[in-house]
Amino acid sequence: MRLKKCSILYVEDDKTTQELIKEILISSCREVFVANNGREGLALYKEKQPDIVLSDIAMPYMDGLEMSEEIKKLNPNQAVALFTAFNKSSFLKKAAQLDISTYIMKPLDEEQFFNSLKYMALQIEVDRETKNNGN
Amino acid sequence: METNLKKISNLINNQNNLENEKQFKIASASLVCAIIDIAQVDHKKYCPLFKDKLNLEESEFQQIKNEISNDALNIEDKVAYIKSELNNNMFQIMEFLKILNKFAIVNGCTAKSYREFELIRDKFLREFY
Repeated sequence: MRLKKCSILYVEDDKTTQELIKEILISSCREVFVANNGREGLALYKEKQPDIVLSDIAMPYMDGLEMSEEIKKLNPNQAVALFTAFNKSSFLKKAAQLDISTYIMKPLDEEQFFNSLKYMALQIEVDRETKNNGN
Repeated sequence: METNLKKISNLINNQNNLENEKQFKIASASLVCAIIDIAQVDHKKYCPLFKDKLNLEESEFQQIKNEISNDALNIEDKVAYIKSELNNNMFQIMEFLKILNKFAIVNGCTAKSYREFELIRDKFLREFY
């Protein structure tokens, strides 16, 4: 699967960042859904079931990790990436426990950002192919 | 889904060639050492993962680590070698990258480790992006 064919749920509470990233995603992905916090994100996830979930960690009502945990309960294979500045090791340990293996480093480097999304899209393709082949 | 080197090794054409297997292990361990910055961390924390994912005993890893430290690590060469051994097959490369990713995140990820993983990942996948 290529990024252009992917749907993405993007969860971010900071409006300025949200607008910036949303525009980038819209130009690169099939569909983009945006939520303002983890609670909204979880509800939108249930409704849209996107290929990729991309989320900030620290947010009001429900943070990115709590939301990811709930999403992983619904779909353990869901591709999830978290924005992080790698400054809170407790978050990262929790993320590793949740089997979240893709991070988008803050401050954002656009090329790395796209490469990470493309990597996730390839991963989805491989996982689906493997599943279809019954392995 | 768990991945390990044996599964990948089995996919390599000349899987019965022991020397080839050793070279593959050395190349893989070299990339892991670059990712986890082996000179700065307690390698014992990674031993279970080396055994599980790369089928490397601690003594074997220690030997490889010494070989690596005596040699300037050329990541481009290691990546090219591993890609070639994996027949430049995207599916096998992605399985291999899962292993590298596991090492990057397992003991509490740092920005430096993750950045190194990303650089290596992109060298593997440049042509597939």
